[in-house]
Amino acid sequence: MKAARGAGFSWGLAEEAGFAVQWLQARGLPAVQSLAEYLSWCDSDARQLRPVQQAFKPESSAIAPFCPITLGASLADHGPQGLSQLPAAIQLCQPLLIAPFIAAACDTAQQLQWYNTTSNQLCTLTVKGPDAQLQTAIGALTCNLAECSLQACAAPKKSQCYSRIEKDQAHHMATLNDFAARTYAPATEASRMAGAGAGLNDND
Amino acid sequence: MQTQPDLSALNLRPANEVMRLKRMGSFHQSRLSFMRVLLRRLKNENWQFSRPIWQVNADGVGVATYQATGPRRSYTLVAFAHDLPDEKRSDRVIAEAWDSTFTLFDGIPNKADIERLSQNVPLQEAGRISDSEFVLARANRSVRLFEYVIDCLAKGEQPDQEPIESTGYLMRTSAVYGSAKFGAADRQTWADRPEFVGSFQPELLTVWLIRAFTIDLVEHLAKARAPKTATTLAPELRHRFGVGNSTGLGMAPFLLNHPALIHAWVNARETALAQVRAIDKANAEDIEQFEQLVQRAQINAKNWVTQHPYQTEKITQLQADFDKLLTHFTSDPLAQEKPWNALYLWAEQHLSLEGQEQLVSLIIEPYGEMIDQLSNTMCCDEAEQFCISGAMTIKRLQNIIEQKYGWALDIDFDGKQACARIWYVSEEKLEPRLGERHEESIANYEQALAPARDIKLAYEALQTWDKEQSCAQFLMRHPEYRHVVRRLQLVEKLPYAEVCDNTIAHDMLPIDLLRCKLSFFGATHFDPRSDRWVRITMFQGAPFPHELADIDPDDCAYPPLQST
Repeated sequence: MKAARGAGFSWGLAEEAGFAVQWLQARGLPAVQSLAEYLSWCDSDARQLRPVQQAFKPESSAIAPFCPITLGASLADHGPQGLSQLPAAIQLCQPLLIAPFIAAACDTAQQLQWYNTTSNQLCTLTVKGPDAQLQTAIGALTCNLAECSLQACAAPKKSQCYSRIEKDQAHHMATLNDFAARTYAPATEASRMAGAGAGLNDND
Repeated sequence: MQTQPDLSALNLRPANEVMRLKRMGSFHQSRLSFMRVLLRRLKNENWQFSRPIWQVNADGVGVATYQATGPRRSYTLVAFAHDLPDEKRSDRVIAEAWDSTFTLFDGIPNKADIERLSQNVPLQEAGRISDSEFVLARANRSVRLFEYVIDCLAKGEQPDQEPIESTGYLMRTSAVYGSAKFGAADRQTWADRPEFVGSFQPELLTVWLIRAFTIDLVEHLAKARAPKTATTLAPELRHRFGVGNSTGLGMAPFLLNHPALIHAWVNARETALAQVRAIDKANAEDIEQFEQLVQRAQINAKNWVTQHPYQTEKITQLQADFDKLLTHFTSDPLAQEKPWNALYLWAEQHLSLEGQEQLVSLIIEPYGEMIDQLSNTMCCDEAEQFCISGAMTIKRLQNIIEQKYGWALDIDFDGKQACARIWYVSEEKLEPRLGERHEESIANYEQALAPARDIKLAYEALQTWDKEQSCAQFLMRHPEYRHVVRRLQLVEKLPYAEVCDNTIAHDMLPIDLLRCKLSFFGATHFDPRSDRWVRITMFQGAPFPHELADIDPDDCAYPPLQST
């Protein structure tokens, strides 16, 4: 949450980012990596993202990708009707991050598919309520940009939790901590003295 | 056996009366406070306690373990005692060394566990604990009292009661970290365990066991100093030692960041009050118990020492309130119909806020059988409240603001004083701080801890929208109000979720927020050290582990009558 705020998200959307990461990590999916890569990607250049309103206007011809957090939160707000208005395929950054919002947006099973051009793999993830089922190697899930499709499908057979990705986790956490640090104010003498207990003797 | 009133017909105090900072800053511990919930449960379930390891040398350096075994599991406090020079002793989060450091282990640690913990627990934030540990804590000595007590015991004498009462503890904790902090187990690991139902139960079990450690340590050091003459503390004096705690600004944002949980806490207490106010007739036994409790609480107020002018004034008012209450008793006010309701209404007219809230805690005290079960509701799954209902209309959102936040709409945030403060986190120490908006360049770092201002801004933005449009549409255009909409939808369902005051006003006192939270923990003797830092005492008067089977912990919440 702090990292997303540090990267410039509004407080409410930063909370949504925190929700998505927690939801995915609890199911063993590499959300810390996905968010770290996404925030770094946005930050590395003045990236153009598409305004979320355009998701519900399929006639639009703009090609800039959508933010998975902003679009995801809006889809969750709009519910099943919002999902039905989406075009057949959308350009999306880090598609994995949108999965928890799709699960929140409707009660029926939804299949997300995208092609990871880096690993040349088709990624397929099915979500329904609290359940997520992966039909892909877990390492192929994160990619900065992909065309993502969404369709109703049969429910996943059972809730599945994948083994946690510990490898490289520290590196990605460090990236998120760097973004979070942007929310911290540089210390000044005034701020030091404004800390609780500053300038007082602790011995009694 | 008390008859159960119809809960749906209860007349709860309105949120905009209860959730004012001045009143929240006057809350007192009650039988629903988490320390009391913990001890009641440990006693009812007949938990057993032991001290399997005591390897502390004559300088007070070493390790000790305290084991608590209940019907389902064991937990162990692993305590490391250190030799800390006076100049290194600091309660602030910035400290790097402490007199003692602790962890609560899930189960019974073996040698390898203790070795691993000895490499990490003394380092606190700089170390790493594991899924097997639930809590990480540290404590510093009260230099004056610690040395004084050792000195007395070493000579074979008992310490005087006066310095014990005025300090209240041998050691004070300066941090008690739970839930996934520094590698500790996530809350999900233990959230379903029946022994931890409620709030902060592992943390408070840790503090209660620390209290036993502090007494064992002074007795050990006295004996090491003078083996031939040393004695141990007399049981009645031992009880007067609690554990101290220093709490700063870090705790203040908690009340704003966990609105659903705060509702659960306050709602339980308000429901208890309403249930007792609804009782038609008080029996003689309950009245007698209540009148004794009033006298005992009066002793507690007399023993309450602070140097801070704000709290000094409040204690003076409280002592005057006790005099008024005792005078009022001469007219036999509890003989009438709905006696507790009448007494509460009288208090609203005649007592200070400090006195009114003390009375709330006291009048629910005789009715444990009726209200104690409310403690099971004092927790919540915050994730359940997370999702925004995008279909809600703008009109309904406006209605919520008008009904719940009229007080906020009345504040002129263009005025300098109304937005004088900024909550932010310092880069240097990662601790929350409160800055001056008009004097420091920190506006870019402001935390979302000003709901009143943000809700008023959202209300103004909503004015230009068609009333039948949805929140989902509004939020696509205004993502900056997403946290506001989430909060409004939550407060509509959970009225006590919001602090009904301006949290960035020039005269806002963080100690009011701290006091509210700490009263729910069960703390006593709030002693503000500034407007943003408070010392408290925990478990003062409570039984020690080896006494729990024989002593009713609920009868220890106020000092005994002879204790003057």
